[in-house]
Amino acid sequence: MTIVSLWQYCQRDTINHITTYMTKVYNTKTKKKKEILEFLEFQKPLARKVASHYTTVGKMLGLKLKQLEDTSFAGAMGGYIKFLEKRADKKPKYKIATYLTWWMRRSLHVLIIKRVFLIAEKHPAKAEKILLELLE
Amino acid sequence: MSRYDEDNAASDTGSTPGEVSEAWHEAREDDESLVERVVSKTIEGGVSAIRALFGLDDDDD
Repeated sequence: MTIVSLWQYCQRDTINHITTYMTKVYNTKTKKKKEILEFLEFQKPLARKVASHYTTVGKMLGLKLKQLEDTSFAGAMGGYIKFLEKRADKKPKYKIATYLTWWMRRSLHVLIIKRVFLIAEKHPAKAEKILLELLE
Repeated sequence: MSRYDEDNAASDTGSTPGEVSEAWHEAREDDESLVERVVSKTIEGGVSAIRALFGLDDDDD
């Protein structure tokens, strides 16, 4: 084997190695992403259920049901990513869906608070009325 | 206001009240500020913005 062919062999081998490695990483990443998305898709009905508790207040604040459902689902996404980052290594004593309900609920609460503040900036009397109704 | 509470979570997920308490306690500990970011992003761009935020968008499939 000449120096040139040896160099070409090494080049080819390195490229093959990198290609194999990249394919493996890409497949792992894609598979994981697919699994995450599938799991989240499965949580959509629960996100809807949580959102349904806030339809009355949503109506008072001019929020559509879809906005509530999206926010609840977005909360579940954030919660699941956080779960994978921090808690996936040890087996939890609860169902992941149970953990996600907190994220869904909290996202809706944050949305409602933001909305009340937004209304208060332009229409303080209206915001006050809504708050008083919420307190009843 | 009808608020989603621990009893609702227990019945919707088939969990015991104790399991809900533990799950919610851990969730609360994890990162409350992430919720703020998630909600702001959802207001700006809907669920697709959240997918992009966590690298779960379909662009590189």
